[in-house]
Amino acid sequence: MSEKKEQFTSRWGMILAVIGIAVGTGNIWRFSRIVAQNGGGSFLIPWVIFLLIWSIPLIIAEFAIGKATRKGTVGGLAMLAGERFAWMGAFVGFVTTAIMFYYSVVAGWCMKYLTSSLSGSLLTTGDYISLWESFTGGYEPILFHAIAMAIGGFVIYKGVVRGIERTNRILIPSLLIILLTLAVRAVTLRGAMDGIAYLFTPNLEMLLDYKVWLAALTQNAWDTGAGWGLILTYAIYARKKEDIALNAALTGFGNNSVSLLAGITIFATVFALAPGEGIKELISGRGSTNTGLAFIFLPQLFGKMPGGTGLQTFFSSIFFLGLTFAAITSLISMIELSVRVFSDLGLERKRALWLTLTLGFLLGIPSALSLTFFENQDWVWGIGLMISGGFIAFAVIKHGADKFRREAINGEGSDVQVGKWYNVIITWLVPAQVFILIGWWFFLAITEFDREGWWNPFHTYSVGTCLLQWGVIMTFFVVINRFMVRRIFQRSTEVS
Amino acid sequence: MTAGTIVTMVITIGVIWGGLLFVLVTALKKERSKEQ
Repeated sequence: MSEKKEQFTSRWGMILAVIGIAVGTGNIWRFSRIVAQNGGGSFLIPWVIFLLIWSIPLIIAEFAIGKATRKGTVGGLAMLAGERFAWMGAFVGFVTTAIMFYYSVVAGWCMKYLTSSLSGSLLTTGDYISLWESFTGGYEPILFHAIAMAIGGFVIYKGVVRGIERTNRILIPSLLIILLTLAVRAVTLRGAMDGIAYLFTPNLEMLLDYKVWLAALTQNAWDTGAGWGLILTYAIYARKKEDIALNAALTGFGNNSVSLLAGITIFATVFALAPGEGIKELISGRGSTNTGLAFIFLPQLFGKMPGGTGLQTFFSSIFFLGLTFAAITSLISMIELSVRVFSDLGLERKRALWLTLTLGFLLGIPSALSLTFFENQDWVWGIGLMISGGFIAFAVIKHGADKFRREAINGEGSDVQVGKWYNVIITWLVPAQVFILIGWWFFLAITEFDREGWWNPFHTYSVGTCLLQWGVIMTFFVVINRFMVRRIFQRSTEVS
Repeated sequence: MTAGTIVTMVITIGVIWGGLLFVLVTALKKERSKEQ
């Protein structure tokens, strides 16, 4: 594993890698549930709008910061906003790394169900709820979490070109073929058109409901990879002549295209194979953190597919293979983010990888053992991502949005010029969306999720638990701010 | 399917998949002209 400066070999290699970041399990299981809960077609219109005013502007910012600074989240934000704000970059990096701890567990769940499906044991199980509960209640998730971390670590060990680029060049097209195969099968099932009609039928009353708009914004914030610091990390390895604006648009539209394809597939399958009660299952979101759909409800439906056991096993297996590919391509980017930050701080890349894998495995174990802990971490760092998006926008504003647009976005290699509209979106709209979203989720915690104990830091879905965990991490990074700056920039000077 | 359903379908698919296709074709053209 060399320390030499690697670059993606082509635009398409880089785009596939970045789409690998954006397309994750959330495109497949969260999108369909949220669409069902928010009135089908009524949700899609704000979802398209927020792609344009949240996701793509932040993806553009991340591409530009990574390419211009050639530093990870800490160094990148420090170079843009000023050394005093290195802690903000550290917070962005930590939030995504904290998500990595439990996301590896999710990747492990997908692998476990893939192996069960391939062996034929999954579809012969009668009680899918018991199967899920006995699996997550045991120690097996730790084994699969370890396997997921090991696979991700191996890819990063191979480097940017032979590891990240090559893996995504294989897995992302494979994932698209899998989704297209599933979509063709789903829409040709009898009754599938009812599901597609539900997905696209607008409910004007719900379109005027602010909750639907907030759900659409949240889906874009969590699902596109914007504001995570991951695209910033991959952009470090962009060629000098690499474009930014078109690549960002390709990422955003590519990600949401996959969500739409997955949505059509799931709605068609649910309405065809479980007419009547299927939509109730989708809306209820049974099981913790979206898992009910993928690990309890869909396996039941695969067992009802026409064509016999062979075809049922085939479609069930490729579904979990697709989920595994989606999870792994996102997981490797999270590992790379952490490795890059440690490398910037002066650690040799190989050691940085071992440190990331060790921490990732150990700190993921509580989520592998306890769904309550898993849900708490998903709550705290899921909302933390919105702060990350805010910090990235802050860095751009602090640097000067117009200067950033002219020099970093429209600089060398740009295929299209981004206009002054960008200044307005990144300076006003993105920060406004951050405040509205965090305020909204806290409002829900106080009024719905945990009315009595919303302040209690030891409750799973409380405001207190967010404030405590964010506070501890932010304080730590503020304290070591000067140390981080010295390590990163002293090393850069020595290297140059 | 109602008229509203078809309109929403056309808008969503048009913007998302149409947008993807448009950006992809533009990027391909730009990449080709860079190579030349």
